[in-house]
Amino acid sequence: MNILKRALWISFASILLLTTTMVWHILAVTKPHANVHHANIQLARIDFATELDAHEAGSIRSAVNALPGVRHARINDARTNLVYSYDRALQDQRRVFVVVKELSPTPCERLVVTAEAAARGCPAMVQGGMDGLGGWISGLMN
Amino acid sequence: MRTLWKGTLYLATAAVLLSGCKKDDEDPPAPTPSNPTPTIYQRLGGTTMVNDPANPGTMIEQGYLGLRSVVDSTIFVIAGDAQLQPYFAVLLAEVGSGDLTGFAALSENLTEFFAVATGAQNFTYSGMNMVDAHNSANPRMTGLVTDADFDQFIVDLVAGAAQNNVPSAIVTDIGALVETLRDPVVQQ
Repeated sequence: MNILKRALWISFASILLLTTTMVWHILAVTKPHANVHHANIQLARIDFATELDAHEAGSIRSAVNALPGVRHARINDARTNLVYSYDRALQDQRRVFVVVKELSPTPCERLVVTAEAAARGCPAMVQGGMDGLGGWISGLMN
Repeated sequence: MRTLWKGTLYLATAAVLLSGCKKDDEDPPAPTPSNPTPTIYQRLGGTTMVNDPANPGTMIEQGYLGLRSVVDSTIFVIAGDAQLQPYFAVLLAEVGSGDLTGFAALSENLTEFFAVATGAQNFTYSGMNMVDAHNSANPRMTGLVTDADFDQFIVDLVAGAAQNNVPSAIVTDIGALVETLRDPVVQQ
């Protein structure tokens, strides 16, 4: 009887611990980052095969700026790429790419950053963003 | 060689800024004990609260907003700059819903860094120090930063500042401040 009781307690404690861990992890990775400005703003880039002429560059920039959810668009000084920011809740970079492709006769492609390249991003960035128990749990879950 | 680069950069900075000279370029009054030289942060507006255009309905310190505008513009320039791309690929990495974007993280991080460095009292910088961040022991480093990369970063910073009509004297001072980071950042 004692063994059965002990087994039940261990099972209950294990389930409780796992549930708590899961809830903690979900809260940690889905927190809305309410205190971070631009929290939902994504940056994207489209590279052109050759230099755009000034008129074409201006047209593309204006068209992308006018798309819903796009915050800001910029053609670089060499006129070889377009960098723009957009609200992820309102726009998708694949849709923007389709618009640009239809607008421009110059071949272009959407820049896709690999996970490996992203992991080697700016070295000054906050490492992880979670400390202590939250970071440890997140590491375990990932 | 390094001195020559610095001189060239300052000349380039001055050339860009002279085109936008305003009243702000006039010599400031001499500092006195009761009127100490204002910090860069104070000259950008300091703790005066203004509306945050990125978050309607919220207020933000004017000095912080000014720095954030420069940082955000600089990030746009860097994101389109092939030379610095390897260091800043994370800016353009697409992240899933709920995750913080590289743009948001770097904007916040760099703005806090500059806010603290320019004299803000109500902010703290939570990132790594510049030596550790750019050391080869940091797994995020793709390679040690070169003098040429650092020069390019300053060029992009000046270009970003120029897009925000920041008074030339302040940009020059920010440039000088960034220049003090060369030794901790360039570890070759």
